[in-house]
Amino acid sequence: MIYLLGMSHAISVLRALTPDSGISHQAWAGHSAAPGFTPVDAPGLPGLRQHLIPPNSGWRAVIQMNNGQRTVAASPGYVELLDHIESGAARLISFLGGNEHSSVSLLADARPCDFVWPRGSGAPLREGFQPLPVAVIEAQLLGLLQQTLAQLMMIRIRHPQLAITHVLPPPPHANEDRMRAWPEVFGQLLATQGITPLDIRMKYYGLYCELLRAQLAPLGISCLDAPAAACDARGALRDEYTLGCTHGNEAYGALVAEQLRTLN
Amino acid sequence: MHPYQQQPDRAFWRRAVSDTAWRDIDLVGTPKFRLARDASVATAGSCFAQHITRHMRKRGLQPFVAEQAHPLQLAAGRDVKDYDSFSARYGNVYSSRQMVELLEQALGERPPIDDYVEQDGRVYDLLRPNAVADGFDNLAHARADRRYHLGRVRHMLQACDVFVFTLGLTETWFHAEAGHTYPVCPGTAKGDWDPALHKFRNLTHADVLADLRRLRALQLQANPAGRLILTVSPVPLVATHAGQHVLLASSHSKATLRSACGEFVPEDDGVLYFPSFEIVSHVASFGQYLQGDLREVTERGVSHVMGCFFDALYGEAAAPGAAPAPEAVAPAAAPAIDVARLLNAECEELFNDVAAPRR
Repeated sequence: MIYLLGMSHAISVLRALTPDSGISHQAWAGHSAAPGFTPVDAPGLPGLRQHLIPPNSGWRAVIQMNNGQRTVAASPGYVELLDHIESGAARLISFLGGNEHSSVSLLADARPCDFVWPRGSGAPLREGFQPLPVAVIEAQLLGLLQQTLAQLMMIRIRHPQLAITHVLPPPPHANEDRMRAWPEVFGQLLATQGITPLDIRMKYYGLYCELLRAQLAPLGISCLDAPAAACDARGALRDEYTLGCTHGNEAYGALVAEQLRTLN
Repeated sequence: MHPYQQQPDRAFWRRAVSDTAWRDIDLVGTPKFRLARDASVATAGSCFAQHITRHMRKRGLQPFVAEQAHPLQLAAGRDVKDYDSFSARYGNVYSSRQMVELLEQALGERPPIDDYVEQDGRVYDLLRPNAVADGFDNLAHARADRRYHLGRVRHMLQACDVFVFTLGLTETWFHAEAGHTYPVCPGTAKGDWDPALHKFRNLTHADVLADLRRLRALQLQANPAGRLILTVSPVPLVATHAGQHVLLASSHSKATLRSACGEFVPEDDGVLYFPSFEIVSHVASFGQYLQGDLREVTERGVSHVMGCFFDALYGEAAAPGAAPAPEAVAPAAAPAIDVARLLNAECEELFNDVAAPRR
C-alpha cells in the first residue's frame, strides 16, 4: 500500500494520475476532511490511496496559540487519519505544506531584503536591497515550517518503520505576466505590491528545500526534488508547467508522478 | 573711547564667566540658525555624538534615521543596537578625514572602499569594526552591506535638514597603498596591524580645515539647503601614537580641531559651531563633569551640554515636556505576514518567535 497525503501541491499529481477524478484546485476547498484514504487507480503505483487535507480544516494546527500561550493540540482528525495507515505499508508520500517560502518571498516587500545563499548562483546581491545574514532568513523559514515538520514528525512517531518521502514543491515561476493572470491567494497584492525578483525568490526556495532536507533527514524522511525537466537554466519552473503563481500544473504533476513510480 | 566699550557683556570674562554660575553661562548666544521641532537632524561623529541622538529621543524629538534594522532582524531576535547610535550604521567616525571619505563613497565621488578581514569564520569591515560587531556571513555579504550602507548615507545627506558632526581626534591610521582612513588602527578592534600597510597620520590644522570645506561641499552637493553643525568632543584621546604624553597629545588634537572649526565656521552662514568641548573641558568648569578617570563625561555633564544644545537651537520647541514623544517609527511591516495569514491553510506565522539559529 502506498499512501499519498497532501494539500494543494498534491492536486496536480492526482490530476495527472486520475484525469477523470474531478480533483482540482478550485474544488479543493470543498474537499471532505473526514479521516480516511481514498483508493486511486494509478498505473505504476499499485495500491495507491490518497487523502487531500483541505484548507481551513484545522488539521494543520498541531500547535496553537491561545492568549499568547503555546499549546500542543494536534487535531483529532489528523491523529485518526494516521491510524488509517496500515502497518506494513510500502510508503507514505507527503505533499504537506509547500507554500511557506512563497508566503514570505513572492510579494515585493516595502523593505526589500536580499541575502547570500552559499549554495546559490553567486550573483551579486540586489542594489538597494538590505543584505541580511542568512540565519535571519533561516529563522523566518523555520518558523513557517514548524507545522509541516510537526505533522511529518507525528507520522514518523506513529509509524516508525514506514518509508516516508516528502515531495518538495515546484520552484518559483519566472513569468510575472502569467503569475499576475492567476495570483491565487495573493490577489490584488500581486499587482499593487509587485513581485520579488526571481533571483531572490530562487534563493528563498533553495534555502527552504535545504532546511527541509536537513530537518527531515534525522527523522528518516527523504525529500524528492522537483523534476529537472520542468526547470529552466535558472532553476525556475518553465512556463509550460506552471499553474497559478505558485503551483505546478497537470503536466508538471505527470513528471512528479513519473518520479514517484521510480521510487525504491 | 575704544572698541571694547561697544562689546556686550558676553565679551568680557569677568561679566560673562567670573560672575556667572557655570550652569547659567550662555556660550552660544544667538545662533546663526535655529531648528524647527520637525527638522530632520542627522548625527555622526565620535562616541560623544551618540548622546545627541539619545537626548533628542528623550526630548520627544525624532532623530533622522536613514538606516535601520530590518523587521526580519527584529523578528529573529537579533542584536540590532548597531543601528541605534547614529543616523546610519557607520559607528563612530572620529576624524574629519574618515568622514570625508565616507561621504565621497556615498556620493560616488570615489569607489567603495574594500577592506575586510576574516576572523573566526566571520568577515569584518575594517571601516566599521565596531559598528557591525558581529561581522558578516562572508565577503559577498560584507560588500553588499557596504554598498547598501553607502546608499543609506547618500539618502541621509540628501534628505536631512541638518547634519551634526562631532569631531573626535586628529590622530588617524590609513592604508599606505589605497590611502583610505580607518576609524581605529587595525588590530585594536578587528584584524591585525601590518606596519608596512597601516600608517599613522596626525591631521594638521590645514588638513582638518580642508576636510571641513570638502565635507561641506559634499553636503551641499547632496542637498543645497542642508545645514551643518560642528562640535568637538570633550572626551580626551584614550591613547596616542604621536610620541608625547597622552594629555599633551589630546590637547594638541582638540586644539587643532577647535581651531579649524573656528576658522571654517565664519566662512559659511549654513554652518555653526556648538561648544560641547568648552562646556565640559574648559578649566573654568573645574572638571566638574569628568568621571573618576578624568576622561569620560558624567551624565550630568552630558545633560548640561544637551540642555544648552536644545535651548540654543530649538528654544521652547524642545523644552522637556513641550510635546509628547512621538511614537517610535515602526519598521515597515513585512507584507509577508499578511500573506501568511491569507495562506493560513498551509503557512502559519504562528512560529515567528521560534528561536533564531545563531551564526
